[in-house]
Amino acid sequence: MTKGETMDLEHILFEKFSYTSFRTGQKEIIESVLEGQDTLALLPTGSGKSLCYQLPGYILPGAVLIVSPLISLMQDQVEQMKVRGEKRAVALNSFLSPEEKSFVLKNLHFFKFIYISPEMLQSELIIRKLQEIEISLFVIDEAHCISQWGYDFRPDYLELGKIRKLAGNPPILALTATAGEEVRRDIKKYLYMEEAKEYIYSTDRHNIAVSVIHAANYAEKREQLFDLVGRLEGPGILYFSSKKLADETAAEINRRFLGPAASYHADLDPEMRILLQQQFLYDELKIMCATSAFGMGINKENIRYIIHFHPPLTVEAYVQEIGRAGRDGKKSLAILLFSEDDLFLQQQLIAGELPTEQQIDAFCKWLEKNQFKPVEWDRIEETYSGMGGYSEVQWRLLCKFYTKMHNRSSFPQAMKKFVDQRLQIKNKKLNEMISFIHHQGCKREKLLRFFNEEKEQPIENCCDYCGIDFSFYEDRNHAVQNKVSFQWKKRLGEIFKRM
Amino acid sequence: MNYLIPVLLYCVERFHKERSMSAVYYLLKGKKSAQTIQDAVWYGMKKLFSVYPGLSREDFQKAVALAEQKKWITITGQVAGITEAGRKVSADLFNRYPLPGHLDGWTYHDTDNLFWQRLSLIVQTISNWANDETRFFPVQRDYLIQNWVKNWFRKIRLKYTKQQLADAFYEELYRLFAEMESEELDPNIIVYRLTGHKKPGLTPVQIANLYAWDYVYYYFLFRSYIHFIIRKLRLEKQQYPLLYSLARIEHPRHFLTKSGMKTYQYLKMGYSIEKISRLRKLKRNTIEDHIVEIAITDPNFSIDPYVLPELQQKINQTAYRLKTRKLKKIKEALPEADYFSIRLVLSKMEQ
Repeated sequence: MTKGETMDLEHILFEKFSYTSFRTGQKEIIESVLEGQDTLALLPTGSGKSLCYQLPGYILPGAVLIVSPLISLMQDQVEQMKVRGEKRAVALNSFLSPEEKSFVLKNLHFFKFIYISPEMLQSELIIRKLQEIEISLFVIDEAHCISQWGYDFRPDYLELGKIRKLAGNPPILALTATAGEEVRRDIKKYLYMEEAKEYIYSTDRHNIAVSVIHAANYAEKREQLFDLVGRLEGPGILYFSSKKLADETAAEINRRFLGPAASYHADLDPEMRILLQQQFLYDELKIMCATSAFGMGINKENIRYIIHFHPPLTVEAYVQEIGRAGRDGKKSLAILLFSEDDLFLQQQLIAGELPTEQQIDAFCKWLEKNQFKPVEWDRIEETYSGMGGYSEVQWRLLCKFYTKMHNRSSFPQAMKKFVDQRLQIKNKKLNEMISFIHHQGCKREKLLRFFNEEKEQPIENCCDYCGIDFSFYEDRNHAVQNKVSFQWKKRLGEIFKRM
Repeated sequence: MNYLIPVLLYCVERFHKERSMSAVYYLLKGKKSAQTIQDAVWYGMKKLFSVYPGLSREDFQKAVALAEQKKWITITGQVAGITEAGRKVSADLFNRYPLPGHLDGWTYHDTDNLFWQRLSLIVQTISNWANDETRFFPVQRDYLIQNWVKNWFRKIRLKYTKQQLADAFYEELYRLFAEMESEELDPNIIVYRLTGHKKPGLTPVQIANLYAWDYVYYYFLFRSYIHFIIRKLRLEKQQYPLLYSLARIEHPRHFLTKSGMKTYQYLKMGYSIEKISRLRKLKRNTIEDHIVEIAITDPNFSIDPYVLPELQQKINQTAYRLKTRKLKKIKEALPEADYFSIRLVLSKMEQ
């Protein structure tokens, strides 16, 4: 690449994104992509992954196709691009109404940045439409989803290699924040990109102190939580495994005037999600009580702490979630509250994601009784609401697996085998998390070792083992939660800038 | 106390042991089936039709289970009834938190959400303009709403500068809310939901908590205020030209089936039932079903040509006396009335 072109990158960076300089890794990855190389990039959360394909979009002749597993994340990205003036971005996913979908497909050539969910790529119609346009870059976001060894395996991802070929073999950019060696090998294998250039940047975030606090039981854990929330400087995120607990805790924090707090999870409708995200962004909310549904795609720089009320099911998820703290580079804190009862709960969560043997057998009997014709297989999934005894995740998995089988007589055995394998992997993952929690030694070192990394240097306020001075993180202003007093004339005047 | 409980008890009471719990659920959700529509009209619950489209089966079942466990309702077979204890609880709760009077789901269920989505997005846009900001995260993500609002601005900006529009819109809103206040409706219920420049609105849960209300109560109150506003705007369109344009529906949805609509056209041309039946090659019964459908959905449709006023009165009195909407019971008590007449009269009963 010549000097002139390098200048161009910085120019585009400023013109389109209003940044004056690249963050670590971004430029190298962009240059690799522009050279037409298959690229595998491992960048920690919050380091600006999306820029690595958005910026090349302004140089490459054709469209950028981005596969992303999370619909809400996809929509956030598209909205963010629209906000900065890019109108040629669109998200193709199951949330589109039929009218919207047909509009988008008719005008596909208009779009430069096409986000798509892996399920959508299973549709022949969509593949055909994609074949009609020029695709210059095929981006696989959260690429670890392709691997059985990844913490978030998604079978649909396995088809992406084939789809790449159908789409005219454009270069690939595979992005992830967390992938060990095994996972990286799988990514390259399944996407047919063995020759890919790899860019791997440390998952370590020096400014985040890592701490595990043990409690004897649930009640003690709860009091510790309120104590921390009352002392620590916000804003902060509290992560829960249960929506109900997130709701209740937010209410309790507000009752004790430690907030303002709100709860955020998948049950909220889109308008509520936007309002809460914005309130948090503008520091009107101090604490967000959330499930893992909250965080991705939220560009808030000044999050001062993350508290996990339940341990995540994998080290990867944990690292992703604590990585949302301190994006401004300032001192931040990650606390995991743990009591032995949690293990039981987490095991239940894992089991709840997979069908049991009894459920598989019952499912087979149900299929037999109903004698579905092949044309109806698509609709089996929709029958969920009428079926008792399965969680939605279990039901979908059963249906997906069944409809994809070629030899249906072997379905029950194959399904059971699959479940066993997944359980083994998930338990292995959970055990890693637990070994981290119980680790007697530097916690940061332990975390890094999961990703084949070493701790480079001693860090001040490193972890609970090396020592953390909690007074650094306390709220010195002792800001008290204000009571809102309703004054509609004032509020309306503010909205319309009348004063 | 979950406000769903008194609402549910109210519905059960009104259905006087003639309908199931599912009928209540579909009524609140606003299911557009002939059965639910008929229930809403015959049992006098038009205002509750489709007032809680977001209600989940799960939440509803929970409320039902609680009411049953507390012996406020009894469910026998397919039918639900209210108990004395249930009546007391319901009266007590409605005494403290009356069912919002302006609620009218029947008339506004296809406008209320649209109106709110349009209003909130337009206010947010104007507020950002006022702060010289053209880029912001829209509070409404629905692509069709965004498009509608874009078109609205395109048209309106032919007549107004940005500043004029902001002034006029603010003035209309201020006047509207001031008038609401004078009728003892609290504008905060609406105003704090609105989003401005770097000023996200509050969520329903947040406002409910600040008032120490049950969430469902706030939900109903908010909806009733929106209904109040839409009614007012439609009555006083000259006074609120800008806001009225958000409360207009380009393609109102009809309760009538296509076939029913066709029959209605023939009726308007003065054709008799027999003639329509012959022309359309449909059974007389089917045409009668259509006429009942029309009587239910069109308030201006008169049933006088089909049922003599004296008989209308008798059917009315019988239904009130027996406290029933069961055709068979009415017919038994009043043999001279045919089923078609009874159905027509029930469709026109006072709400």
